[in-house]
Amino acid sequence: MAGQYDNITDMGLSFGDGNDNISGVAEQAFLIPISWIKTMAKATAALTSGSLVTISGNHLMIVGKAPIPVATLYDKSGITWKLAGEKLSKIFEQGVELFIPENSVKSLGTLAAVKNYRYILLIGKIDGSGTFWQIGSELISATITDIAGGSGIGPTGEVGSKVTLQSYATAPVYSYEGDVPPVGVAG
Amino acid sequence: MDLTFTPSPALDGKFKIVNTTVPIYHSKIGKFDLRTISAEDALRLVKSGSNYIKAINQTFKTKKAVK
Repeated sequence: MAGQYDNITDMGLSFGDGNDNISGVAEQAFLIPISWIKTMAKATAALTSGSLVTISGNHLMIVGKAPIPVATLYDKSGITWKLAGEKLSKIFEQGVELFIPENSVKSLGTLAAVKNYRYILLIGKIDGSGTFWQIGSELISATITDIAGGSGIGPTGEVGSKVTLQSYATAPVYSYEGDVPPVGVAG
Repeated sequence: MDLTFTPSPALDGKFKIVNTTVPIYHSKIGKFDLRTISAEDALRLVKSGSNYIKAINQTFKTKKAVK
């Protein structure tokens, strides 16, 4: 991960005119307890600024374990980041909101089970690349900070649960470009 | 550890599922169900360097992850 990076031939902040630039995340995420991971891929040596945040290897699960799939609602799910910490000791605070629009016993039981693990979270990019944003890492896990939901009230109420996770990292977010380990259910 | 599912018949004698016991696979080349996957897709996964499906008694060039 990042130490000091100062390649002036590579760094830059820009927007490519005409590029698609869609807000939001795909409706597929995976919670992966760190204790269930055999080998965790990570960002490699910083040859380019992009490599500071790109994870191109594959996470490998302990045999018998699998990621927990989360089918989210596009309109109400996303990730955020912002700087935290004191002057010259900054770190990025990463946030995730996942909205699950149902109250099935399967979903509610899963919420009961997942509340106290340390995770990495993979959530699909909306750009159609088939790659994922990753929150949390082998250094600092993501944890669930809140689960809020309900039945909704009356005909216009909202059914389901919002799951909020938080982590910290030296980068705003990581780009996971490896395989998602197989899962037992479609999510 | 035993698989929790019955693998696709297309894998019989040609491919082996390893490092997992479950069937829904979101690989970097697409999403596959190991219960119904075709031999052609299994071969594509092997060539992509998958950790979860291996060819039996065959040698393929696999893509290395870009560092």
